[in-house]
Amino acid sequence: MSDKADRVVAPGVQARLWDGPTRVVHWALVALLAFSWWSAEEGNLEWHRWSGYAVLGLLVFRIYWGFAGSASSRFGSFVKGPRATLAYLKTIPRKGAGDVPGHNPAGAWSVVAILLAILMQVTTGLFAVDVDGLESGPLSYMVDFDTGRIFAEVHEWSFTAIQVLVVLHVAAIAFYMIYKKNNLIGPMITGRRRFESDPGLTFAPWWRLVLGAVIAFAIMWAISKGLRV
Amino acid sequence: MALALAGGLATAGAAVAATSAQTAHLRHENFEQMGDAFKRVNDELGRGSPSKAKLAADAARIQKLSAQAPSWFPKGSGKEVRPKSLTLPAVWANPTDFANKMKAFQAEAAKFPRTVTAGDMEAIKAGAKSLGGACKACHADYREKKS
Repeated sequence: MSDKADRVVAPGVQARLWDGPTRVVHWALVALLAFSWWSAEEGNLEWHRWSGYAVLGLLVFRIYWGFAGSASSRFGSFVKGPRATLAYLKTIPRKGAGDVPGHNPAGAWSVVAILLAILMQVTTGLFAVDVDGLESGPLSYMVDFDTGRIFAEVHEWSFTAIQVLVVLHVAAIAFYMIYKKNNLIGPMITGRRRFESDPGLTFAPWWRLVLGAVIAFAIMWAISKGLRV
Repeated sequence: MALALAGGLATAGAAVAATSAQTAHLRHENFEQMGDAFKRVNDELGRGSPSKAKLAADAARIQKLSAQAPSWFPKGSGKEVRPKSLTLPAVWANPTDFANKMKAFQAEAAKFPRTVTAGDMEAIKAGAKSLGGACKACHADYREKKS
């Protein structure tokens, strides 16, 4: 097989790790964050708003999936306390693929931090007003101009936070790839990884995906219309 | 005596600087008023059935402010006196073009209240859009980029 890095550790088996929805949400967020940045710099706030609504929908879905999705995508399965996180951090210098199926305790906190930063970004964007009072988020009619300007200000800070987290995220992946010879990108594309033995992860049935998509779309649509009837 | 004179000049100079800084700050506050009025217009237009009375009130505010706007840019009231100011030196470097864009904005701001009074909602929405366009036309060249 082509995956030499894993063969060093053990011959093992190829097994499913990430389900389709988790991978699609991940890469769609990458694309939309880049597009949101670009459209804001270009001053095309119409596209920026649409991009933000899409991010909002994906975020709602991902939070839902963190409770109702497949085992490897559930917050309950990967978010660990400080003791477990510290114990994991001590093993970081060890090379090779980890035996944790999915997010390790440190990566889990990075997932939580990124999701919270994006939540902050989307929420502040909904209430933000531009300096001219010409362009604004769909819920900004609920606040006055000065408050909307504060939201716009926080919207900029939280974007800086996202940039910092993305740099850390990519740096961590590069560290795993180069130092630990552990490719994390491949599984996020194909959904599969080589394990010493099949971890026997369970995956959510299709109707949960449909339900989550309907909920996310409904919330996104209502907010994009400013929650006005 | 010379020292006293120099001191006097320095004080006078400081006073002048303070005044232009105040002018720059006042300009900022006036533009905030304009932004506030414009946001209210857009908020109102986003409602199911916009109130024409509210639209008329804010349209009048914008027009009143636009009439004063050319007087907000005396020479020497830029970044040099208020570092936070977003006004670009181009305002004083290209006075003719600046004045023309200002006139175009004033014309739109004068037209908008009449459009509101006439009452056709689609025309009001179009009017708000072209008024916003007149704001942006000037900001593109004469104000520092700010989101």
